[in-house]
Amino acid sequence: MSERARTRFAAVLMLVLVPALVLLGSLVWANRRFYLVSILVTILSLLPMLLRFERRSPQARELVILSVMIALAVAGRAAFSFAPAFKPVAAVVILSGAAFGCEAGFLVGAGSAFLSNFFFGQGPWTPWQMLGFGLIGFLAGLFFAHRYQPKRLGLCIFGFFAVFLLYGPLLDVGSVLMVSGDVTKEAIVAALATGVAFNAIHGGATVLFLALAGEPLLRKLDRVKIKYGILSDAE
Amino acid sequence: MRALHCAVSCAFFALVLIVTMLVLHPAYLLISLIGAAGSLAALTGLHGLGQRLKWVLPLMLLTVFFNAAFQHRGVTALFYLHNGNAVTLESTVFGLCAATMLAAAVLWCGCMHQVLTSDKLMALTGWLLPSISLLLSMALRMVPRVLRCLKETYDAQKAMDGLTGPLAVPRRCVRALSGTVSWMLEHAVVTADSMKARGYGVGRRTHFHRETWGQSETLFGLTLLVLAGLTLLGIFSGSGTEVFYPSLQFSPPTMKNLAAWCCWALTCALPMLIEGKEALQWRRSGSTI
Amino acid sequence: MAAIRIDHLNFTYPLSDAPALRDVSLSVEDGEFLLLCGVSGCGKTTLLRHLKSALTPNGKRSGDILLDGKPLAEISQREQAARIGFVLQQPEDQIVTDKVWHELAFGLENLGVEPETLRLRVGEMASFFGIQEWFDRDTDGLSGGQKQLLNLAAVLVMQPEVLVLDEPTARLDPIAAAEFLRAVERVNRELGVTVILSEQRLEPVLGMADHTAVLESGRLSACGTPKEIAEKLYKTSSPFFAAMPAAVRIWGGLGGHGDCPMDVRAGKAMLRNYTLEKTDFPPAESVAGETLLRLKDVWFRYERSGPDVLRGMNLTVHKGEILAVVGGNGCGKTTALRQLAGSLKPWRGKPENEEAKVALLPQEPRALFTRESLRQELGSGQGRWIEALELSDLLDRDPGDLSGGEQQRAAIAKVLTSSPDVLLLDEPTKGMDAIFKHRFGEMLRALTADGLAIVLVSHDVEFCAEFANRAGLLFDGQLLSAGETRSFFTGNHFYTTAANRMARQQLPEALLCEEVIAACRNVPAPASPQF
Repeated sequence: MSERARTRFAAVLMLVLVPALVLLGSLVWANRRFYLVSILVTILSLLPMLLRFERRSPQARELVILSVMIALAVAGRAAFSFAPAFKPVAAVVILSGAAFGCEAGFLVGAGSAFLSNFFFGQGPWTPWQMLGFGLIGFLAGLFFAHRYQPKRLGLCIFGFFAVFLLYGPLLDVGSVLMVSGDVTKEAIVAALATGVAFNAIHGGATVLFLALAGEPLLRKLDRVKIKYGILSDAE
Repeated sequence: MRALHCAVSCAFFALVLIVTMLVLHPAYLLISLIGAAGSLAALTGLHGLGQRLKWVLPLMLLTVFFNAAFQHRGVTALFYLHNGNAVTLESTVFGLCAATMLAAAVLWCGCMHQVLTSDKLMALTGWLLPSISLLLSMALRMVPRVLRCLKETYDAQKAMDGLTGPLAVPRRCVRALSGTVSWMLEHAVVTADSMKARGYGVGRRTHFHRETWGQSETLFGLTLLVLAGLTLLGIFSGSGTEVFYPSLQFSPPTMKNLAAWCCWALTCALPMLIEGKEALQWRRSGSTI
Repeated sequence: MAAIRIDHLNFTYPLSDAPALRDVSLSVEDGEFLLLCGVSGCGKTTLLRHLKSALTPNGKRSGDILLDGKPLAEISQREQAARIGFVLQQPEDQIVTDKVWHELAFGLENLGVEPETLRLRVGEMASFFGIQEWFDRDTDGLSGGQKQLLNLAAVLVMQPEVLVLDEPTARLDPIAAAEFLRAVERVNRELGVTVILSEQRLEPVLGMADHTAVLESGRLSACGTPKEIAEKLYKTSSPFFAAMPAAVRIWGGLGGHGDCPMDVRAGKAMLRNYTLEKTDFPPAESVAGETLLRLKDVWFRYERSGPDVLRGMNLTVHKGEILAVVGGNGCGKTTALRQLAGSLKPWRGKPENEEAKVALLPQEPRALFTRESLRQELGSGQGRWIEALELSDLLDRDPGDLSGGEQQRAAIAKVLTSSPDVLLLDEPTKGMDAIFKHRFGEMLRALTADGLAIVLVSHDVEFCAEFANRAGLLFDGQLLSAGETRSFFTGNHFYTTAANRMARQQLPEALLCEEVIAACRNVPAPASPQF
């Protein structure tokens, strides 16, 4: 299967199959075990990308570069631990996706969420964060990886919406499920409303990091890509 | 508990977490909460438990409030809000149960954090996802380096860039970030060489870990299997049925149900029992010297 | 049978006209210890990397490399991975995983060794190197010396027949380096592993090697026992002779008669055949310029309940001088520098700064660079320094692509952009070869000519003795006997130059090889001019 086809396959799996499973779960169990189902679904939805990575036995250079990007995101979260929503994690994940493609973006996102919780505490929120950041990285790869030198404005707009409309709401819904175990429209609206300010700060921080560091960092990552011929989507 | 093979401890935590989240019957939840709190105390001491409770308790309150305020199903109205919606007994009880479930889950996760340390978790993921496990291990190795490098570059910039004004700090941060990225990527090339020099990529890898399976693992595994079977049997035969809406209905404490609850209680007490046994063994071995 | 034979190897990098290796032929016997030396950029690394296909660079090549009589190209990567062990220069970068035990197992995991066998082999190697005490630790918490030892052990678990080491001690301090080399010697002597090692600092390793090979701009210029090499380099007036140990240099300076001494003991014996004329050495040029910076009774600790790193330290920096601070590992040298730079605040005492601008060059000069080219880093208006530091050709390069020495120079130019009055250097000569080190010292002197003060902390006694105006020993949190360089070093027993240790009974004031050579009488032939 070509890289394109594989990407499309993974996209279908994640963007269609997973919501379908959630829906099915909610119908079969009514709305009672929603949280357990949602966690299982989240974990399941992480698997295809991970297994795909396993199957193709990654090269040493891919592994080291991915590990640097993950470590950078984790260290960034630790370095800014004093400011709750002001984190460079999403920016690093987006840049990884934009430079090295969907799979790399997803792995950096999910990996950094998983690892950073070793320092900040694992909990029922871990799978949600993994899925959230993983999706952001995946989408960044989908939008930017095939373009040469994405523009700063594009990155910033994507960064803001990815955090404000995708990551934030996903985690808010996750916490509604965690807190009420029972989903009503009002509860979700309330959770989303209380999360708006937090998500806006998080999105703003992401935009700030992308605006200031996005282009030079992408240039550096592109240089690495050309120099060592790695992780490029062309096979 | 920490000395046990990661497979059995992982199976234990998977069981406890699933049952805790699956069964919202007050008896099950209360047993789980007590078990989790006791286990955490046994593993980290009362201080560690206190640290967690500091933010778990507010979370519980929030959950109860959230349910009472936004869930208006149920037949027993306690009072009415100014917008005409009722705060019902059922939604409040549901909130209490959900809060207990959440607290128990968080405390169990705390125990898991103590027992399944990063290298045990790596041993476990290595079995299913060896490349991912290696990637995570490599990333964990990089994290302190990146932090040091960020600090060094930041300090060096601060000492000589002469920036002032409100944008000085963010600009310096970004420069440090950018410098760190290229610095670390240069190192990464050497790391990749070191991996290749040691034969990475020449064939199928095996996965080494330091977990060993001994008598105590077999014993614990069998106990866990029996208890899990009995607990699940109890749950599916209706010892943990609960209905919240429209009105509350819980499985009553009959003899059969009490027996099932006891099995669950014994399961939740396993970490405490093991920690207690280890402490006792330690004390005994010490007294003979 | 030769373990490794290199047959007429030629190699040219892509986009380069000059070959990096020219007709290199070399044979290494089974169980032999071969030392490969040469100045930076002479092709040592390129040659060593040819000994393992996985690391061989791309380019045009001719000639053969045979392992046990079989061409390397015909041996599978898998077999090569196990049979040829490779240790690189950077201790930190070679470590792949987060735990010591996992790092030891990594190579065997790659070969698909079953866990039971793996456990035994790892345990064996950990015991051989005494690693079991830190078997459980995170790799990040180890010292540089421990890291490099771990890299060595992680290669040896695969039970290689040949061990190749590319400047493994360049980033270590002298004590850790000596310990590492002793471990390599043990591997060679006790396990019978063939060792091929390249090195800049020849002093500690020359005595261990069975044979030494010298590379000069890609050509093998000499090969033989260390003594033969010394004699050959002397006879051919090779520039690389300057990198030889002090005893060899003095022997050469005296005309190269008789048996060549390889260490201080033999050098001392040789000097007994001469009378050393009493000479009045002028004290190092004393610069009694105005005081720029002063630490007065400074106490410092990193944590409130931790130990004091500095305990009542006093230090004065004058305009236009080079002040050298020597001292063992972890004695607080870097801490003292950061006090001078003002980036750490003492809890008692006060650094007095008469409005002097201070610039610190950290041990890792790479930390200073964040831009994409050197030109961007340096900005404009630095023409003078760019010339003096020989950077003009490098301006359009990415700072990350520069070699260690080039990075060091570029970093100095960068810190000089803020036109400081005091320049603080942390271990500036780490990893430099002998010839470049000398040029670097001259550059530092040129910088002080306009009144810049330089403070350097270093393990490199020889360098400090040659170029500093004043020197002091940092020990127990205090600067001991900071004084004029000659009187400081000649008063020491251990912290002094090798030349001084050889000549101290006859001429206690002599510090440098040239001084000893000049003072020797009964010289049967005129001294050679290469020094």
